Amino acid sequence: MYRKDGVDYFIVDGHIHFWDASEENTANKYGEGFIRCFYDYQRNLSPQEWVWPLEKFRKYSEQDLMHDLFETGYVDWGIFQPTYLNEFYRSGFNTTERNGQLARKFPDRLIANGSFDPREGEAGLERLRKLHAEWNLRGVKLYTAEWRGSSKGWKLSDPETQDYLALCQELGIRNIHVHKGPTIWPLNRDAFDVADIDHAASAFPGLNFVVEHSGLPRLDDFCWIATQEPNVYAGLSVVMPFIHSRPRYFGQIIGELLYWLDEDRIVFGSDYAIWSPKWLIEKFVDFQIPEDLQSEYGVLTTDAKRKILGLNHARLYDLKVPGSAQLPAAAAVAA
Amino acid sequence: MTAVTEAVDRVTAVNTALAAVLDPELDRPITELGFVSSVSVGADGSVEARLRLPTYFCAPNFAWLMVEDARRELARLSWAGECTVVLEDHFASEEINQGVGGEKSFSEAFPGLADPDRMQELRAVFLRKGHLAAQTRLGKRLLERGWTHRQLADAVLGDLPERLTVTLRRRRALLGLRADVSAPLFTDNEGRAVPAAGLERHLLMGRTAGVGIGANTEFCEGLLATRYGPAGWTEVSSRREEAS
Repeated sequence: MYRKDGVDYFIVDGHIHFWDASEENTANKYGEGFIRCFYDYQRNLSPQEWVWPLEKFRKYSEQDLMHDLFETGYVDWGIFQPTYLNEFYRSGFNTTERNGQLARKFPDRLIANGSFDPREGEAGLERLRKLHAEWNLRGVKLYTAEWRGSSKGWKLSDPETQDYLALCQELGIRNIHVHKGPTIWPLNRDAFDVADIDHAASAFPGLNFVVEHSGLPRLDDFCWIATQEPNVYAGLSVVMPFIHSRPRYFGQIIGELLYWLDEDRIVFGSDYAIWSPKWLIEKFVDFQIPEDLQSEYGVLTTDAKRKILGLNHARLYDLKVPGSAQLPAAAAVAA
Repeated sequence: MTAVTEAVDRVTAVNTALAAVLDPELDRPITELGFVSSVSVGADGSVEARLRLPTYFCAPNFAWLMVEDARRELARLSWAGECTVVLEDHFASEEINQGVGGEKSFSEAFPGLADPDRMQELRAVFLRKGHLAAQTRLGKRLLERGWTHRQLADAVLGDLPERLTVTLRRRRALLGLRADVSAPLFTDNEGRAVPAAGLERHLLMGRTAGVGIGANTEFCEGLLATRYGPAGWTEVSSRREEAS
């Protein structure tokens, strides 16, 4: 919980990791390049005092995570989004298993999401069932750009994917987080194109589709889809740290999201350990759309900030919100 | 002309040629973005340009397009001999440098890993965004000067001074759309005029596209500076020992 000027903010960090990119676990030059790329993300967009030494960044401890999120970072709930990268790291980078062990230890603080790859066919469906049985999944994180054999990526609109989404619906895995952000893999197939979200969101109205990184740099395509599909959400991971070094752009992105979507469908994520929630939350609560942009975008209200920082995620993940952090109307209903 | 001044002129010509190469995703010349780390010109007219990108994992498809475009622009210099473009510090440097140098297609350079014939389509996706964003920037200026949506919808390129439509015309030329004086000022992706009733929405989409491109550019520029030190410097050298 974060409190400022007498207002309580319930905080759900919807995008966190517990990775291992230690030298022992790094399998090849790709793994080395990947963690250095992440490290440059941290160095590029963090206040100086929040830049870690590379050694710590490669592999941080359980204590680091618990301290940065819950002791000093105001977070009430953290949601792990796995990134397997088994071809780059010997025992994977940030797997459901590694995250899940921590989540099991702190069941009232941490949620471990799973993942699936529709190219695994029947075996993959079985694997998803098992993963769900073991970790009681409430969400999955999908990387449509991952390579697999001769395939250079997949789409949520592929026929095989429909069986997986149907299984998610059946099992109650309601939250489908999809990485749609700065392009890396694959080669020429435009796997971060957001058009497939449109298809899946229409076909599965009972599922929520959280588009991580808000589709940047395809913000316009994403917003256009989100206006038409009520079950599409904008995830703010990677967007959040702009608040420090590029506040004007941050204001514009938030302004666009508020315009095309609304304050009920924008959700906070730090992308920890790339960035730490403490400073992001403090700056966000103090943030306002620059004055000269307010005629176009309006203002960011306290209620909108409360929703974005936690209440929206709480709704998606059925998390209990203390009365002091609820919006006035909701608090009245609850009372 | 002395050999030295000729060499300097040639280096300038090389940089001018490279300024025609856009980062397809960011809609800006690679020279402005700091992606050209050095250029050199040999006495025999050989040219080498070295490129670098914000991350080790920048999309290889976009990287390829930049390296290929750079080589093509250099080859247009009338005096140029062998032209080499080297992409540094990238996970696919080897494949891209050898592929472009050997005049292969992208799918030939990555056998089994890339689908043929998708590159132009990908390039077009982002050129369209750049085209749309440029229309919004222009539309905003005109509205501020008192134009109405009706007037915007009726306007053709020839109604404005050329300097205001430079970007629009360049993007249209690359997209194969009409860019003559009688072409509509505001068009959809196929070059059809946007009716007055649809103009507000059209300009809004362009605003959002522009924010997306701009934010991504800020991100990439910051990453480049993080990786290589403050951006903007370019090491320019002529191989004097060979030029003498």
